[in-house]
Amino acid sequence: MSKGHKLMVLSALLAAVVSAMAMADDLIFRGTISGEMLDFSGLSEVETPAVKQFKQTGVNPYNSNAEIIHHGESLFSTACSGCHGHLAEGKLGPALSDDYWTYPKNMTDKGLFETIFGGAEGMMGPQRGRLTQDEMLQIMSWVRSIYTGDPDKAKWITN
Amino acid sequence: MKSIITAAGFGAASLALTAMFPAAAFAADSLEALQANSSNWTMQTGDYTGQHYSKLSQINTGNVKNLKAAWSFSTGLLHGHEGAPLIIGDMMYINTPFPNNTFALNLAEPEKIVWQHKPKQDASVKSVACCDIVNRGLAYDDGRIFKTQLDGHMVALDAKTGKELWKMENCDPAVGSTITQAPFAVKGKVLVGCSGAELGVRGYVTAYDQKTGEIIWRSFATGPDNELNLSKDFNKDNPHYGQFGLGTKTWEGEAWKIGGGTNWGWYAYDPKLNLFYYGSGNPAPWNETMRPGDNKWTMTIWARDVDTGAAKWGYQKTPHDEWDFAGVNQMILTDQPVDGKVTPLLTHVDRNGIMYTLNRNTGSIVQAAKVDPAVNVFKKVDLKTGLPVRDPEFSTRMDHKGTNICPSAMGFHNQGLDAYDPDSRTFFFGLNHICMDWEPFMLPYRAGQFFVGATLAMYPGPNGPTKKEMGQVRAMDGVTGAVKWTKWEKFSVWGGTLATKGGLVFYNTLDGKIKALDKTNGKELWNFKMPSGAIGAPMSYSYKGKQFVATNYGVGGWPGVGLVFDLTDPSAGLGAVGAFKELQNYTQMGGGVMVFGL
Repeated sequence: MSKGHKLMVLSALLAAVVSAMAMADDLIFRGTISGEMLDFSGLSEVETPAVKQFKQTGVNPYNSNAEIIHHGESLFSTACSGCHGHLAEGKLGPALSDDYWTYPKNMTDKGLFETIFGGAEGMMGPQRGRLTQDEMLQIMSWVRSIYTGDPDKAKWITN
Repeated sequence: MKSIITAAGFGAASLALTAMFPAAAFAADSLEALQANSSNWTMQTGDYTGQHYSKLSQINTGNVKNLKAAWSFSTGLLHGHEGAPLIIGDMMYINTPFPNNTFALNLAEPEKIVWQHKPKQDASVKSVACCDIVNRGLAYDDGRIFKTQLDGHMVALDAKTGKELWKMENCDPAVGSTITQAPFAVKGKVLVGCSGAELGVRGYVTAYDQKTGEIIWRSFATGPDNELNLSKDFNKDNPHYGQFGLGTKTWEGEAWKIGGGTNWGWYAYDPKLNLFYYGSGNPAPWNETMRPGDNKWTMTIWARDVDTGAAKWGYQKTPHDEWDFAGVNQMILTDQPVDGKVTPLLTHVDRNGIMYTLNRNTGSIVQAAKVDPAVNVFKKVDLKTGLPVRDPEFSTRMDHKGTNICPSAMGFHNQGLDAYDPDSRTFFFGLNHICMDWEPFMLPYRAGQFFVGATLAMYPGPNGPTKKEMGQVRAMDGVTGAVKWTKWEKFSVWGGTLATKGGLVFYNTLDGKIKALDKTNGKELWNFKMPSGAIGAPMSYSYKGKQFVATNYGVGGWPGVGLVFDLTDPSAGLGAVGAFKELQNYTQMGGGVMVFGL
């Protein structure tokens, strides 16, 4: 093994350690169906401050941002309304505005993110690589904003 | 040799080139020879005519009551199993929904899998499939199996070993383009289209060289004439259908680029005329207010030269669609007397509820009859102009909720393969009987995301005996439009029908029964409840002198997508699948093949 090659291996190892350290504070995200840890490597996107904050806290900082919520509605209209309906009232896929969840973990923002990022049964394929993680958070903020169910079941409301 | 070449970006620039290299003359077509032997079931449509008819008569009206399950095969997958297995000699080839596994069985020993092909696909393509993750089956020719993958690939396998021979990216899932269609093998080529009009994908049909996977030609449904690949005398027999420049002029600005018109249905081929026939699908988005104009050539029956792809004629059934009546349904070729003269005909039951019979040489309309009087979007089709006469009460537009519109977006007929009995000159149509409410909304276009813009509710149509029926099998005369008999069903007859020389009409029900009717009166002579509902049509073959009827089962497709809902979800039963909520009380997901014999 050449010296140059050794260096490359060493720096690759270091990078892996550093990135593992950077993620040390992150929550563990798991696929809704598989239960396996979601893989965030290889995404062609730069994590926004909101995504970084969400990964550590499970709290979606966009939930109270009116401007983002408005943009989330537009994203929903193209990425999600085809199945979930114009106003998330349910169509080919279930309603997202009521308090019934096919996967109960979707009552938390962490759970909903896991379902969107990693996919679920049926036509709910993983949105990984189709939407950026920041766009997923924007869409989630709009979905939460149109909630019509029991306030006590809104587990994503943290304060 | 295995080559993976990206072809999705293959543009019209190459069309001029390919036109200079006419396809080589092929010797006796092996597929045609196989079709002539009714022991085989060589293609999804039965044969090139698309008549979906078996000349076998060992199972007949007298003994069908003794028909029993002979053997079965589980594919190990759930979701909708459209299409049917193929039989080539003593081999059966089975295909599945995503991830599109393929199995080869030897009929001498069906309990053992000879080979299996299991492609790896990125699961994210599931979320850009419009209506379940179905696949409509395989094609075969000259020792090769041709299959499509949801992720947009067209693949050739060695029929003996299952080894991948070549693989081409035909449709780009990054822009929402997928494949659910069965490929069509003809004259050394294999034809295939794409799905994705719900995501604004521009439609095209492509011919690949069976041996190498190279593109021979590609023809679009919208855009400039050279990309539409129109012949010089396009529509010369019916200039009022429209001729040149309309693939761009009938759109606002460059909307044709994201205007849909994908074809994912069935092809038919006339060797004498050297023409093949198919339908282009719906324009995008569904919201009609966002795309003024006729939106040519979406919703069109095309007749194209199989060697060059050049269009001889095209007839747009639903100019400026308002209801998602995608025009991709089966084309059935028959020769029947019209005004005393045997005429080459093409019959097509459209989503819009009209049965069209055209002269397949010229494209001239012979008949355009409603398959059920409930059709209300059109009062009739003017046979002179070819134009439908609309009833404005059932049109759709922004800021208006249309109600009691018939047919629903699913159409009175969808992807099912129907049969024609040449002896009695009768078609047996498997139909939907579903109407809808429709309310459009505005949305932006984003590549790779849905471009629909309408909210729908569906419910049974008005004409069933108890007003709750959503399906029927209807025997009709294609030339006169006369109805001979009707057999109502609780749910849509989604998969279509098979007619046999034994005087029988076989079909599957969504709740999981395979049934046999007497072709003369529609009387039910036999049925069998399968493990899950079925959305493909049965087929028939014989092995060592014994006739069998076989079918895929596995409920799903557009009517079955709601089965992933929990019954307790209050929103289950809303929207486009609401009409099928009750299906959950009859069947659950499953997937496999059932074979029946005496």
